[in-house]
Amino acid sequence: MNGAEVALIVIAAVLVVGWAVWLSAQRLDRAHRRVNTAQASLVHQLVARSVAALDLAHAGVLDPVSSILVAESARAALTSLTDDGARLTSSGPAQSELSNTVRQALGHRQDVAQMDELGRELVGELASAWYRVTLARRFYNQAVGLVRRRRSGKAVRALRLAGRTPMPITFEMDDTWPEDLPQATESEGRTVS
Amino acid sequence: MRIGIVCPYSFDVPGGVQFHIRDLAGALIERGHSVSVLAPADSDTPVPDYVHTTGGSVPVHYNGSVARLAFGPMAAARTRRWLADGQFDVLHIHEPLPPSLGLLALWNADGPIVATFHSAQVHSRALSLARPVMRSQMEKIKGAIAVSEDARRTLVDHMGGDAVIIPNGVHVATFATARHRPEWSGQPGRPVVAFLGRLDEPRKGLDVLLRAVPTIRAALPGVRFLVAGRGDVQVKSLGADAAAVEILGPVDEDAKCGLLASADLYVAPHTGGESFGIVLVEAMSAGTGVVASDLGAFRRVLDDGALGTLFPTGDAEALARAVIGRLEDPEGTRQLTDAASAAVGRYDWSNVVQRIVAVYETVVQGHGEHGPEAGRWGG
Repeated sequence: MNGAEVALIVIAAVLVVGWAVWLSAQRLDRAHRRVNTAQASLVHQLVARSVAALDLAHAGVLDPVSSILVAESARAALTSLTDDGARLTSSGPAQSELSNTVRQALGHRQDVAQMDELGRELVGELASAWYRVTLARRFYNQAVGLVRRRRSGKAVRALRLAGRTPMPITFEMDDTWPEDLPQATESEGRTVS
Repeated sequence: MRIGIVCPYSFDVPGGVQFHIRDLAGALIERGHSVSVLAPADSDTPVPDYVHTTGGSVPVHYNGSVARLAFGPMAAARTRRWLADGQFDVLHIHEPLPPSLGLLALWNADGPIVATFHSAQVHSRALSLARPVMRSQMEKIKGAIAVSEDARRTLVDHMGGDAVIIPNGVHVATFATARHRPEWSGQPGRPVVAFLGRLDEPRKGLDVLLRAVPTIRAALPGVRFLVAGRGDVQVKSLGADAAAVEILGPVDEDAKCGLLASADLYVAPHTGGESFGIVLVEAMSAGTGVVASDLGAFRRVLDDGALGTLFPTGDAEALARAVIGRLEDPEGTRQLTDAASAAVGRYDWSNVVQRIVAVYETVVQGHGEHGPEAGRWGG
């Protein structure tokens, strides 16, 4: 091999490696963007759930104590997302407390069955918003998991492909809809497994 | 009389209102009344015989702290059954304003209702929004009692109406005769300053006291700070001064009496949210000097400084000066504690329970004359 051939092989190798790095960076960027859209969707669903809980609290279908406490916790859950400097990651406890308060305020299936039509409708809307929160949270955490896996790769770390983008973390909250109450999907004639 | 008392907060985590209700029930039973107390509590929490529980409670953030409250359909159903079974001559609801069992009972009851308002400061947007509903509920209260001027003002501001002021009761003799504990007693050159209250609740003001520690120690190197209460606190940031701070953790009633009686000084550095200040009265009963922030409630208990020393709320330097002043002037402190010991008589349960029974009797009489339904409960 003469010098020109060696140079050609080196250039080819550099090009191949560069292309692989570029691909890897692209995939990482896509994964990051997926986290961003999943986060926007999750925040949207959490806000919708708080609003549904506020509607229920203000409808006069719960006892006054439950009304006040559900309204308080819904407000706290809402402001934990919308206040200046609020961040999704720190909103978990407020969201869990809303879940907890609503579960206590709604009681059992027969308590909901005894509500008037407006009450049952509002509970249905809340159940639906709640279900969407559980979906959005699962998708968000999956997206986060993907980024974390990609970023743990040796090449990604060595070449600092993630730049200064902070490492995303999963969103943890208690989003268990009371098992005993009508499920969000029941009224739509479908079942989830 | 058959008296039904509603306690808003769980007996699982005892607090001021729960102790007040327990002592009130005890004092009423001693006088021959029949008493049933409805309260949230988990089934495995030991409670006195006369306490009827509504079952599990849920921890909820409310008014700046976490309270265990009972609400929802099950609590409502149990409340209705208790009212129906009890056939009470008078229903005494504590704290009907915060969203808890008191409000739930009020919602379900009708008849001779007495209510006691304990707390000052109600910051609740939801409560303000619910004001029209709340007013109609509050109108069911035939006799309103406030434990302090501050609690009365809260009632007037939020719901209209007025209340008679009957302070919280204290078993003065229990504190006056409490045994001193040598390990908590001050020695010459080693005075003891006591703090009582939740350690990690900002409005109890432990932080204000801790910030004053270096200044106090500079003037009185031997001083000891005994800190009793639930919760976590870090004193490492005090450096060398941390050695003067002893965290006792949660203490029972007996230890509380002992601590207050043994200490040279009790400090109440609360920053707000206090409506009465029962611990101040307990310290005064124990003959211990009191240094307190100048909250309205504390000013009134200390008679504007005639029974103890006040400092501007939240001002650690002023707290330090007040503590140093008291500890360096035992004669002046003794004059204050003597005056305080004489003044606490009006807070003694023997006195307080008579005034509460007088309210019951007035309300019941009114019903006997004007209502065919006296003593009957809807629900």
